[in-house]
Amino acid sequence: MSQLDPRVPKLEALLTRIKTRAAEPRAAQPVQAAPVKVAAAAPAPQPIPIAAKGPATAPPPTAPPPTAPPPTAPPAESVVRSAPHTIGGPPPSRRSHGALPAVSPPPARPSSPANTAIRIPEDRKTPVPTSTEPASFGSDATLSAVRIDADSSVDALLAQQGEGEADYDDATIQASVEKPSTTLAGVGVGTLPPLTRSPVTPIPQAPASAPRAIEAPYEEEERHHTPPPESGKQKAPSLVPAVAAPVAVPAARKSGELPRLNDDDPADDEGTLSGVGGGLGAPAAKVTGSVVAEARPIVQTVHAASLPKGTVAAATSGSAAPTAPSSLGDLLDLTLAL
Amino acid sequence: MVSTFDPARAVRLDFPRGAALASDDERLVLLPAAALIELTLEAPAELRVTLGKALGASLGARVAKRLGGSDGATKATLEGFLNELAGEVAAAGLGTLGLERWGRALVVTVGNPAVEDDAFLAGLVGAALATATGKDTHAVHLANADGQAKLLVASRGTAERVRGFVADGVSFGAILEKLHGGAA
Repeated sequence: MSQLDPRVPKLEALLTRIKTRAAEPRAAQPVQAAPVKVAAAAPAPQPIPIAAKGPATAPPPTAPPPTAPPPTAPPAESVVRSAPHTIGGPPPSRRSHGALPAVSPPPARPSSPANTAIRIPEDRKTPVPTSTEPASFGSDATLSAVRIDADSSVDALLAQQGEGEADYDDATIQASVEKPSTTLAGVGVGTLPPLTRSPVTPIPQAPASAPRAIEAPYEEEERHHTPPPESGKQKAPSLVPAVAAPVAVPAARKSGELPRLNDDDPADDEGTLSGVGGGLGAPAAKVTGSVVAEARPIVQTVHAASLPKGTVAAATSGSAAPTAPSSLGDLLDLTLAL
Repeated sequence: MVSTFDPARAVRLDFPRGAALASDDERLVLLPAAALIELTLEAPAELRVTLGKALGASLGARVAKRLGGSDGATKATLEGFLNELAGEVAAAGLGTLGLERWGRALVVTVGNPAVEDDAFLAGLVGAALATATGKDTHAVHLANADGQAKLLVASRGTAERVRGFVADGVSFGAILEKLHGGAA
């Protein structure tokens, strides 16, 4: 055996120190939490009204790590901001706890369309509260998908539509319901005009800007444009006094935007409406004198864009008919007395 | 009469709370029509009427509220009232609404109904009118024609009588004749 190298004892001492240091507990070392950087870099977020209440399904945030600074934004806002992350990748709450070994993020879903559709710029990221579970898709993710785009583009859309930001800040989303149409035709008890038209001329679609038909007061002279030819089916039961003449005149005609039938054309006055007569004071044009109980009321409706058709048809008239009810209550009284 | 129905406010979606709200803040549920249809296919007639009444009462209450209560509703013109109620029905997705007058009889038509169930529609129409006007109105399904369901509005006793006519296969016109004192 040769003599030991004089450096061996020094190396052994160094090895001993290294082992001793390695044996020291790791718990004493502070954990550097990722959210610190995120929170420091994030600008103060603009409050989102819809986030004020937060999703009902979001679990309560777990206690943050000791070294994690408190979030700079209210948790509710953070939840909203964080939701997009839950669509396409691991939830941000877990991302913020990336240094914690106990939490493993779920695998990302690269095939999710939302993952590519919704991206939040880094400078807009907001620190999120700690959460052990991703937000549920049903409420939070969907909502966030709407709201994130709404930060800029939807505001512009709302401005274009004249909605302004007031509605947007209302924390609600207004459903877009098309204005219902109201094609009310006149009620013509005792005042029905002569029914002298046969073929129903197709009514062109009223422009969207047309005044609502129901709002226009009805005028008697408008009523004589009555659509027509149901006469083939009509029977006269003779039990209801006087003449029944279903009348439905679209009030939108008052605006003059709908074509009128040619009053001067005598051909139109031919008796295709035999069995259907006029009302009080109406010129008797082929009136046979009885109500047609089985005849369908002739209803002419105005087809306005996206508007449902509400029609009132009157099927009664004549001298023996009771006075025309002026209100719904009067009419119901008559009806309920049957 | 100027309508007070505002379609833009008829349904509001409150996403944070997961709620759909009507114009009077009544909570709504948006559900597929197929769900209602399934229910009406399985439920007995009484339950279908009850379901229709519940919906109709809700619609009628909103109409009455806008028109100033049941007094205001009864004083409204037929067109004005129909305008309000048709808007609610349309906003609910239940179909279009119309009125026909046959003599003294009042017939409500429901076009493009989401649920084509006689009992359901009868409950819906009857309760909507009753709630809006405060009158004891009932509705009886008379016929379907041109994609529209026709329902007679009547008092309780008359409604019962008409149901008997319908069950006996009496035609729509004959029923109206009978109601006006004739013998079909």
